[in-house]
Amino acid sequence: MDKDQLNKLLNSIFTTDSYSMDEALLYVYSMDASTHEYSPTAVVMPETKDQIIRLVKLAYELEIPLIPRGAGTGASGGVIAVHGGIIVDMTKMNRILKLDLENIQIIIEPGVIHADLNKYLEPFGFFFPVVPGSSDMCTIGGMVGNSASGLGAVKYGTIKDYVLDLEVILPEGEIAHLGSKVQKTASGYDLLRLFVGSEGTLGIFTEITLKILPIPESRGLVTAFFKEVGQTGNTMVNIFKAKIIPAAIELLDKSAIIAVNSYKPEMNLPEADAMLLVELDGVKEEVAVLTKKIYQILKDNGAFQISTTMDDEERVKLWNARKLVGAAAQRVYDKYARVYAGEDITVPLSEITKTLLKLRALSQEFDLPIVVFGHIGDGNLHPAILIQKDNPAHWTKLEQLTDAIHEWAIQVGGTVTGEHGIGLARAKYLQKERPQVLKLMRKIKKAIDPKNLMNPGKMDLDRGYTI
Amino acid sequence: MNDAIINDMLKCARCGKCRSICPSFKENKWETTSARGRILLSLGLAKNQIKPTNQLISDIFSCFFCKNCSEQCPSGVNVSSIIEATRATLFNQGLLPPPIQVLLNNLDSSHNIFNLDQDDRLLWAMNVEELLEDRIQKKAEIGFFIGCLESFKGSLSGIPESLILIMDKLKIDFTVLGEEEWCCGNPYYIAGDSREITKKFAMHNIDQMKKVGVKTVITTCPGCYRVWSSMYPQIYGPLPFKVQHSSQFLAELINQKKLTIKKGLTQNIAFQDPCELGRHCGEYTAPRVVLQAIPGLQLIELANTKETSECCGGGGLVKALHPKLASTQGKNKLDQYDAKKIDLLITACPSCLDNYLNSLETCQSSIKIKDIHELVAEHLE
Repeated sequence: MDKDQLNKLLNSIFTTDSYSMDEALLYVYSMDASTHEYSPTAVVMPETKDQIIRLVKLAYELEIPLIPRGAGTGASGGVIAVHGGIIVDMTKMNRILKLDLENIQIIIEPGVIHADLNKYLEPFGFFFPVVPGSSDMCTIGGMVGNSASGLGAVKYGTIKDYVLDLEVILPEGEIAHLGSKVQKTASGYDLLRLFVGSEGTLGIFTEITLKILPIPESRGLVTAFFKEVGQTGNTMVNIFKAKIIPAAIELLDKSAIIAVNSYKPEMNLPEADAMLLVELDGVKEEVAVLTKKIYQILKDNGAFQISTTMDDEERVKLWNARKLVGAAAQRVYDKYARVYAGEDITVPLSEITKTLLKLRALSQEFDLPIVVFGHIGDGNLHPAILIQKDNPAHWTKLEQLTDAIHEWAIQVGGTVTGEHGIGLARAKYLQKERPQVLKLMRKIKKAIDPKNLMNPGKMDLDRGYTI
Repeated sequence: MNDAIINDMLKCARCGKCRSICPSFKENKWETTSARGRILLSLGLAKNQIKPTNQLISDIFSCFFCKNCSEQCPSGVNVSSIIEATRATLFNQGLLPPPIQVLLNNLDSSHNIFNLDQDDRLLWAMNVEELLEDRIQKKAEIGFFIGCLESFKGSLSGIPESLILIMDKLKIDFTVLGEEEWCCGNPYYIAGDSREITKKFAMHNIDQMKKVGVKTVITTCPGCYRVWSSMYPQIYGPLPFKVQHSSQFLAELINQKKLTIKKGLTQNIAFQDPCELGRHCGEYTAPRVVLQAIPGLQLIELANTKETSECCGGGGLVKALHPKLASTQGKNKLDQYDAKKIDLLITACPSCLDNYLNSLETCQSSIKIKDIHELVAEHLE
C-alpha cells in the first residue's frame, strides 16, 4: 500500500493532528528505551475506543501490523515496529473512568501514568501498590502489557495480581472483556493472566480495571550499609526467617550508591559496598515493632550506619533517588552511557549472593562497568551495563556480556526477565528458558492473531507462523 | 554540531523523566514535542539520518527553554544545550520558522523586538518622567537596563516604573540608557543565531554602560540578566561592572537594612520562579528574601517549586510560533495556583507577567497577578 493511500485511510478515522507519517516523527518513534530501532510506517494517537476499533478492523483487512505504545519507557524493544506498521500511541487514552471504592477497584484507560493514578487515589485513602521505578513516566497499559512489578513486589506481588478486568480489542476488531468486577473467579480459562504480559501481541487494551488497596496507616524505612555486597543476600534471608515480609527490600551496590550521590548530592550516602532499603508498612504499632526488629537483624548481619525514618518527606526522597538510579548509573563513569540490556534478571532467593558476585566477575571479565541495584526481596536484580556508544567493540562486548548474564540466570533456575518483558531484547533466550511454554505461546498467538498483525516480531512468536 | 553535544545526546538513557515534566509535551502529547523526543530529533539530524522537516522544526521550536529537563535528568544530560545547538543548526541552514525570523529581522533593523522606534524606548516612563529627567545616560553608580518587553509593552510599564520609584525613594544613584539601550540580544541566542550582529548588540550595550561609569548593571528582566551575566562575558571577557537581577539588588539592600518595608500584607501569595533567573542562573533565594521582607506575607509554595518549578509558558520564543501552547501553559499554571487558593501571584519576569495576563483572558481564574517590584513599591512607606 502506498503512503498516499494509507494517508487517506487514516484520515477517514483520525483528524490530521491525530496521526502522522512525517519522516522525522517516525524516526523518533522508531526507538524506545532499548537499543533497538525500526521505523514504523505511521503513528496514530487515538482518543476514543471507536477510533481504535476502526483502526484494528482496517489493519486486519489490509494486513498492516499494529504496535500499541505507552510512554516508550520499555527496555525490551516491545514497541519497536520490527515489521513496520502503525504505532498506536495511547498517550491520549488517559482518562480515569470510574472509581469504585465499595468494590475497591478503579477503571482507567491504558494511557494513565502510574504516578498520576496514585496521585488521584491518595485523597480517597487508597493506592495502587505496584510501583515501578519508572512510576513518573510509564503508563498502566504498558505495565499490564509487560506484566510489570516494582518496589513493593515482595509484599504486594506484581500487576497480574491486581488486574480484575481488561477490555481488549482483538485482532479482528472484536471487543472482549476478559475479567469482571469480582475479586476472584474460577470461571473458565484465566485469559486475564494470558493477556497480562502479552506485550501487545494479542490485542489492544482500551480499559483496565485494577484492584486498589487502602493506604497503610504508617510506613517506616530502614536504610543500612554493608562492607560487603555478599552480606545483603543473607540479611534478606534472615529477615524472612524472622517471619517478616517487608513492604520492600531494595539493594544498591557500591556504584549505585555513587550514582545516587552524583544525581542527588544532598542524599550524601556513605561509602559502602552495598546498601539496603527496607520498608515496613501497616498499623502504627506494628510498624514501630517491625522497624526495631529489622534494625536488629540488619545489625546482626553486619550492617553499619543503620537509620530509621518514619518521616514521609525523607522516605519519599530516598525512594525517588532509588527509582531513577538506573538512568543515573552513567554519572559514575565518564564518557560511558547506560544501555538497557541484560538488565532484568530474576533468580531464586537462594542464588542472590552468588549472582551478585557473578555480576561483578562478569563486569571484570568483559571490562564493562555494571551498576547493580534491584528488588533483592524477590530476587529481581537490575544490572545496568554501561558502554561507550561510539565504540563498536563495546557493542560486541555488550552482546556477549548480555548473553552471559542471561545464561547465568537460566543456569541457576531463574528467568531472563522479572518485570520488563521479552520484547525484542530477550526473544532469543525464551527458547532456552521455556521451550515448552514458547511452543504453546506460538499456538495461542496463532489462534488469536492468525495474520500476526498485533505487534509482530516480538517474543520469538513469529516462528509459530512458519512452523 | 560539536562532539560534546553529540556525546550528550548519546548519554540519554531514554528513561522518559524529561518527558514526564516537559510542559510542551503535557499539552501536545506527541513524543516529538517532549524533551526526550527533541533529543532524538537532534540526534537524527546530527547523524544525517533525518532531514529537517516542518514537523521537526515546529517541534524544536515548541520548547519553552525552561531547562527543567536538564535540571531533573538522572543521566546528567544537558537537554537545553542540545536543543539550543539544534536551533543553531536550523538557523545556519536558513530554516527558522517565519515568525521567529521576523523577530530577528526586527532586531537587526530596529534594535528591539517590536520593530518600533528606539526614540520611544522611554515611553514606559510617562508616570515617572520627572524622576528620570537628569538620569538618562548620565554617570551613576547603578545602570538600570530595562529590556524590550518592559520598554514597549504598556501592560508591563509598571515594572520599571516601580523600580524607579523604589530607587528614587532610597536615593540610589542610577541611570538609564534611553534610546541607546538596544535589545540584550536574548532572542538571537534562543533562536540559535550566532551572527556577528549578536556581538555588535553586546558590545554596544556594554560600551554604553561603560560610558556612564556604572559599578553595577541591574535589570528587572531575567532574560536580560541571563544574557548580561552569562553571554556577554563570553563575548567581551570579564565585565567591568557587576551584573544583578533587580531582586538580587533589592535583597542586598534589605540585608544591609537600607530597604525596610513597613506596610504589611495578609493575602495568600505565591511566587513564580522565572526559569531564566532560577534554573538558568541558579537564583531562587533573592526574590524570596524580598517577599519575606514584607510584614505578614505568607508565601505558599506549590509542590513543584524552585529547581522543579514549572514554566509559565512565556519562554523559548514559543509564543511567536505556538501562541496557543503558550497561553494554555499559562492557564495550566493558573489552575494550579487556584487549586491552592492563591489570591495573589507574584512574578519577577516580564515574560511571565505578560503570558499570565494573556492567559487570564482564557480562563475563569480570579487570581491577581503582580510583579515583585510593583508589590514592593506599593508597600514602601
